Amino acid sequence: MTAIWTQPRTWSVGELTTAAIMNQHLRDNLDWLKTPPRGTATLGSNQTTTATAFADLLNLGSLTFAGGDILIGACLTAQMANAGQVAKLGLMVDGVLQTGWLKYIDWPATNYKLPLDFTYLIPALSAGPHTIKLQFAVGTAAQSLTVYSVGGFGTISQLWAREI
Amino acid sequence: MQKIVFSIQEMGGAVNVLALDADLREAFPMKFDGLAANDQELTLFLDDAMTKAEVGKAMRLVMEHDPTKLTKAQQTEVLRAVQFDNKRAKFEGTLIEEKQFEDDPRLLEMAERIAYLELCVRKLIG
Repeated sequence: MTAIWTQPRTWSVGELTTAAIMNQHLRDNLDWLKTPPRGTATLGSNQTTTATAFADLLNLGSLTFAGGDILIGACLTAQMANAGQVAKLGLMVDGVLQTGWLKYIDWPATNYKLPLDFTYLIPALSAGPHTIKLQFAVGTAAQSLTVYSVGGFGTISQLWAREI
Repeated sequence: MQKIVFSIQEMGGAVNVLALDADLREAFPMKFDGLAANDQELTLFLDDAMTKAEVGKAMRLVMEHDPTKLTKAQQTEVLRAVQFDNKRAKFEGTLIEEKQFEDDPRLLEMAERIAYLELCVRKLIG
């Protein structure tokens, strides 16, 4: 059963409680705290892009939140061919690139494989369904960026979100 | 920007991303932004200014793509790897590819020492 969050009740002096009230405000809210709305996506195969336009990388689909802060995280292993090339990551919520979030990674050395990890807090997201996905792109034409799935590098590329 | 999605399966199950990217860039300079691919789908990013005929040509290039056809850089890399393996097998020339370590001289020194030890061991083994 999906846990349901209810604004915790303010008890009054001498109030006679009932099983229904206790279940709703204690059991259900504790259930929700243990298993809040959340989603995880992992790369099923390596993903490569040569485009400066954003392409989907990891998609959590639609998640229904109770309304509040959402913590988002990712761990990625990525590779570009040459030093000085630029990888871009964009976090999209409801199809909108999060302002101030776009990440530019200036590749430090030839063929390096880098961990591109982050956590990010979206404060006060409204209640209801929201789509969350991570996109990637290269800085300029004729570059390529590869993000690895589970492979020979002992890693997993994953995006997750969890209401807190 | 217009996006066109292809099934990798319908393309024969494989794609050489860099080679296809190079072919499309050559065919549509300034109008082809790039492509994104995994093992299921390939997405083309095309300028909105491309005509229907140009889009059709781009789609044909994708469907006729031969993943075994390498770019010049890929051919050079394959040749370099084969030559390097041959050199190692015959103990000819340097055993270190300095280009691989050009960003860190400490790694190069370490690689040279390991290669020297490898050479010593092989000589001892005969």
